[in-house]
Amino acid sequence: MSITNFFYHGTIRKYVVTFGTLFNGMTIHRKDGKIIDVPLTYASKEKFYLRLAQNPELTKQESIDLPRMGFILSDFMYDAERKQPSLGKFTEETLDSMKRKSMYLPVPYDFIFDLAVYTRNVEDGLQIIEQIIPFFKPSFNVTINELNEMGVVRDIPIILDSVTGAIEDEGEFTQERVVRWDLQFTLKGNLYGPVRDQKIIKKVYVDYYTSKDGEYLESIDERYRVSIDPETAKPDDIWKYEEEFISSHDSNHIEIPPVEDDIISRQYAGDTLLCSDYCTIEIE
Amino acid sequence: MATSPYFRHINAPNEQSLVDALTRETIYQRGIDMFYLPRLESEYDFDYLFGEDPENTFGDYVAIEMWCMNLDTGFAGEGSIVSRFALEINDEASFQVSRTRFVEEIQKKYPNITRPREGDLLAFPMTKSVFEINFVEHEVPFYTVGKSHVYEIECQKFRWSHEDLDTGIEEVDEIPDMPKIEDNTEIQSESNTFVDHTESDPFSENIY
Repeated sequence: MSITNFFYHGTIRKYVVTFGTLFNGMTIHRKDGKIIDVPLTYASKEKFYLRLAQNPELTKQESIDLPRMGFILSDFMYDAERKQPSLGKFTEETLDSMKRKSMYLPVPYDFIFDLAVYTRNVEDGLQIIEQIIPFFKPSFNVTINELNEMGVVRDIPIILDSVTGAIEDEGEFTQERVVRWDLQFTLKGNLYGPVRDQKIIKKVYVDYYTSKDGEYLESIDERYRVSIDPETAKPDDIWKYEEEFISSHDSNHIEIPPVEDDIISRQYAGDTLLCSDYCTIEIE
Repeated sequence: MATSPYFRHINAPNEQSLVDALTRETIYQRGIDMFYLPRLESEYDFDYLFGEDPENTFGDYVAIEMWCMNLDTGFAGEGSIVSRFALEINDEASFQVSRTRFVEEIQKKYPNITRPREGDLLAFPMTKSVFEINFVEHEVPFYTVGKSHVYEIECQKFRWSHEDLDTGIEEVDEIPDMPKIEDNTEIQSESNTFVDHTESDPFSENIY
């Protein structure tokens, strides 16, 4: 038995792309007026692809072109500080006015990104680093359409955790100086569960029964019905309540028939209803 | 006690000249053609603090024969590796060049270059590769008949950092045009579908 049917929102991919977006337009300026775009790559790629893309004819003259930056999603972990109610839900409108999309609140996760800056010249590296650090105080917010299906647009904080200079300039002459900076970031993300269609309660019946000797009689004594008019109205449309009260004790002595509409749930006296995260109703 | 005055094996100009001639002849017969590319200073000040000059250029070459010391095993070093920054080819090579030939060819053209210099480049047309000189060993072999006849040059594949390349050698000058891997454009295109970008406020900071 699987925990769920297939669903995939591509949220983590969005986070990776969002993170990359912050650094994909970096340039360095040389004294001779040359402006150099700094290439950025996601580090984890198929090795055969790298070989074929960068050295297709096996005639690559140079070792590597610098400066460049590489980043990778290295880890992610649950963030207990941002925990939300486990049974909390939120909904979104659908084309069908009788239904709404519904999903449980997301699970908060921290995503750890490593960004590495590799240059030949220290000056080039410093230009890149100084263009990054001032924006993180220590966090930087990016607004993204996190979950298009549910219309979730959210500010994503990205926190700069550490900057480490890794300049290898000692040792034998046969090894060139390597100028590298490693930056670690935490992206405060959310992971969303499956989206489900849920019917909207637009009509409520409240049936009253009479009890005798501690047991309820089968016939319905009185009924209160309230419904939305028109039934197809959406929240932003113009609509009104339509109420009806029927009693079997009036002059006609009518028999109240059972409810024929689809019953989403039937509640009884003594039941407790969870209406929202902060509200419960007990039926008397 | 001093060495014998009758056997002057470390101070014999005729034998030194013979070894030098044999060295030149050997490299001439069995060596390979290389191009020596001097690193030219830019018109901008050298950065004394970081000891670098990012605006260096390579604009000329001198052809000279050298002895490749990697003929048996191929290039040394790590070879082709995948790093955090995509493909990196860390080939290393060693070459020997006759000291007297170096003077004849290179010092004659560039009087201030009296020996192979660290930082200068060697283009190796046979393998279509460009090496940067990391270190020049001047005492191996150790003073044959009292004199050193070759420079042993330790090189590593060139890490190009946007130096101007206008040498006239195709393999070198086309380095900037070779396939380079980067995700910048693709990342931007994909993020445009869900990141809230506006020109004046690209990341919704309300600052710019």
